[in-house]
Amino acid sequence: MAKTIMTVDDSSSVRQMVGLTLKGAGYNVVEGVDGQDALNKLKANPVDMVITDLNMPNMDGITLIRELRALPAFKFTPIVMLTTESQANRKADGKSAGATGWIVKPFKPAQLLGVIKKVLG
Amino acid sequence: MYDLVIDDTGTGKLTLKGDLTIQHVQELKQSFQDVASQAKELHLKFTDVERADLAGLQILCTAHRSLVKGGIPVIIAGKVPAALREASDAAGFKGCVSDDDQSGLWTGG
Amino acid sequence: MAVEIDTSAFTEEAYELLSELEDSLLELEESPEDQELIGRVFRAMHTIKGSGAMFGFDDVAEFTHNVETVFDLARNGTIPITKDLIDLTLGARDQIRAMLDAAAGGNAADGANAARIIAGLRALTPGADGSPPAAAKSAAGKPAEKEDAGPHTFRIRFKPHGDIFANGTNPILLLDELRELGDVRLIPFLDDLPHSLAEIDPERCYVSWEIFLTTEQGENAIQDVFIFVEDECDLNVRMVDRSEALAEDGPDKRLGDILVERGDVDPEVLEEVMQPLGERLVRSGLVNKGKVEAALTEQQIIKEKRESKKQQAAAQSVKVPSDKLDHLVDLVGELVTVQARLNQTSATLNDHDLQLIAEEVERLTGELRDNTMSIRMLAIGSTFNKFKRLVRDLSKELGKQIEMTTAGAETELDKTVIDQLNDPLIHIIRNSIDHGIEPPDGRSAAGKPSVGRIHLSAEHSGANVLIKVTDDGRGLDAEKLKRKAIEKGQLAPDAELTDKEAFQLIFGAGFSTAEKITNVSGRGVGMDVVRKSIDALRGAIDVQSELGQGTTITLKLPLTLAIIEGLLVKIQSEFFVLPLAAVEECVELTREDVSATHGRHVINVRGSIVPYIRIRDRFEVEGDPPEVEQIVIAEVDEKRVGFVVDDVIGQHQTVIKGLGKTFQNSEEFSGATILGDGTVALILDLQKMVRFVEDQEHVEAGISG
Repeated sequence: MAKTIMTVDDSSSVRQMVGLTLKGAGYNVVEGVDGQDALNKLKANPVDMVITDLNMPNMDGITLIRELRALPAFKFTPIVMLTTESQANRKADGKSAGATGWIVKPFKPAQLLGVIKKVLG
Repeated sequence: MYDLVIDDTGTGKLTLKGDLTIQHVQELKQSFQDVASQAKELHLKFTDVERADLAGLQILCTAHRSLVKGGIPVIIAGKVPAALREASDAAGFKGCVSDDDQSGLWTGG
Repeated sequence: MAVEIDTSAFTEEAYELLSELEDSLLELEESPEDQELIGRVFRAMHTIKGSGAMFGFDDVAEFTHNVETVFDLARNGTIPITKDLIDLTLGARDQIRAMLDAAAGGNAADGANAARIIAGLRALTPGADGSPPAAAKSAAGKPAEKEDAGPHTFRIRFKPHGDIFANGTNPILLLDELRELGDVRLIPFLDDLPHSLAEIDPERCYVSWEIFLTTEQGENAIQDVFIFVEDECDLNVRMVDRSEALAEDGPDKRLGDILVERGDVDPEVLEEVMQPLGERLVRSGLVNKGKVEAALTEQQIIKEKRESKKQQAAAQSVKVPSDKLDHLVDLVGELVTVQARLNQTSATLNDHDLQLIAEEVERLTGELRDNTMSIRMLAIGSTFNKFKRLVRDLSKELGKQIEMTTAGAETELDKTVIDQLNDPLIHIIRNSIDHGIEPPDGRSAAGKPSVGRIHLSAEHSGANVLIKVTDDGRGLDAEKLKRKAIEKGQLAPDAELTDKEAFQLIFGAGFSTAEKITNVSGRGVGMDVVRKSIDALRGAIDVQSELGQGTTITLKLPLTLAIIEGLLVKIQSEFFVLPLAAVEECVELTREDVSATHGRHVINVRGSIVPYIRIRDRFEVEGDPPEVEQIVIAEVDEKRVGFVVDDVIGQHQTVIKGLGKTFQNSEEFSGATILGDGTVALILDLQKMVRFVEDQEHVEAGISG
């Protein structure tokens, strides 16, 4: 049974790039255009993993992570954040909100798949 | 995710299905506690397990120790599916540690 | 699918990391032992290297790699943090900055300077002979990690924190990732996994691993596997087959050396117990079995790598799950009870042959019992040693000078008790350091030596072990404690408390008298946790304190599951057990003896006057005493005291059973035991009895003498 991953980013090019990589590796992909959109969709249909950008309109990634962790269905779901930020504190914010890990943008498809393997199997 | 039937001789038949994972360990714990309080013997069936993770292995291990200690024998019925075997191998659990090799939880069946 | 490479993200990050690196290095110069700082320095370099490679800054990545490799040796303690090392690393930091500036269009970085820094760093590494193999190789543009030809074996200790699942981590996947790096052998540790369903929180992680990985990759590749869980686990990675260990002509690494190197055992302790080491260490309880087992695996791997043909004569230890041991102890307990019954029956039947068999069984049971108990018993010394470090670190952090001394490190306690003692003791010691011991100037002002003292001791006391933490600090202020408790509404304003009762207030939830909150304690958590933990062990806490002089906190812990040698005595139809260890002799007490002392409770034993306690009176046993009573003379608190009984039955091996709630307040009993015929006998706590009588009657005739 293929696992489903949601990718959340306000940039359609990033969603496309992530989506192509994931589909190529045999995962099902659903997309969210910002935190709020993702949260609405995820409440209706839980997934196996979430990959989210941090800076987004409506609801940012940190808030999304925090909201998701509060839902029983997402208490233990791997959530990986995409970050370009000058690291340390944003990573720490994300971790304390409940993120499982992070991927630094820009990244290569192989790196993305490596991280997915690490947290989702 | 589980199916527990206790017949009038006190034999509990617990069939685990789907994911033996962190998302379900609380239910799993509850099912074993039901066994502990109601059954005299447990027939445990893993056949329909599709996924297992460390949390799932932990609760199985504790349940096994706890039941055996409480005088409730645990018998593995049917085959141990690959998903469970692989998870226990990956975590390095060689046979259930609370038991010897013959009747260990992972080597049974 | 091409993604545009935006290098500014990297340079920005790198500049930030460099300034962090500088701060950390300067701090490290002040406190070169600070592992946290060393880790920070290492991580900063590691990130610069990693991202540098990803964004095409190969020169930065390679240079940083070389610096990092040397610094890694400092991190794992192979080389010390010296001023030279810090100077060179600071130089390296400036060099990286220059390289980044150059890439951004600044002046070209000075390559010769880079080479000088690397050469300087290499000179600090062990085995550096001045020849420039490293420099030569790095000039050839190959990362040093790959120069050490052939695969290496690393020992990885991975202990996920209990809450690691809560952020979506599946530790098994990390193990799988390690398998991709090379050949993996796993030793899982399940000691912490609860044995009962009632106790397990199934959403917490209780498992840890010791992993041996043989790989072509370097340590950084291993660190990277755990990069997301750095803060959610304890991780220790170490190469276990350094070249010196593999030297063809060297002897196999000795097990003891491995244990010492791994920090599992103190070298001094090792001196004491040479040969046959594995067994001795385990038996004497200095190292737990799992540790020895893991060290053995390490030894084995080194051996295999040397392709040594010599076979080890025999396995030196076997790992046994602790619940099997629990079961064994239970069985031995039962056996001891049955054996007592056998003795009694054979004595009654007066059958010579049966008595011979009973004696044989008695001997075997005794040996079996001693052996079984010793497996579970560990000396508390290793726990004590851990606290030395704690005291050192905390006193430094708080600017205090404290010397810690210990006594009774060899005192043995059940393993489970020792394990659960760790946290409460940490809290108590922290509290002593933070609130108890004054800063050096405060001490001088109070006329005390500027160096404070904390004394940690353990001793057996009947069926209990007493663990004491004594400090010579400012002591507890009973009045202040009461005020605070009233303020917090935990105590009625008109409550009358003795000082002793007031001292117990420190164990209230959320209680802290610290004026300012420090990192060390004073958050009001801790001491209530201590009480909970000790309650859970069915122990008791006693606080003695004198304002300005210091505080002693005594933990009284039962030797759970313990079997003691007792002396079985009888009064009327009641049976009691006195711990045999304290008993010195038995003498007769006649009516004449009693009248000779005019009813005073003393007796002349070969010229010395010994006070005695009449157990009959103490427990109000109905009936008349026999003509001739027996006095069991025992040593209690270093004094001789007699205990008067009707009859001494004899030596009795006793399985201690806890007393129910009914008896919880009768402190004079430390437990009960079941005799061969099913009768219950109470085990007397002689210390408590003596103290009770002292308090109650002020027994004149010199219990104090």
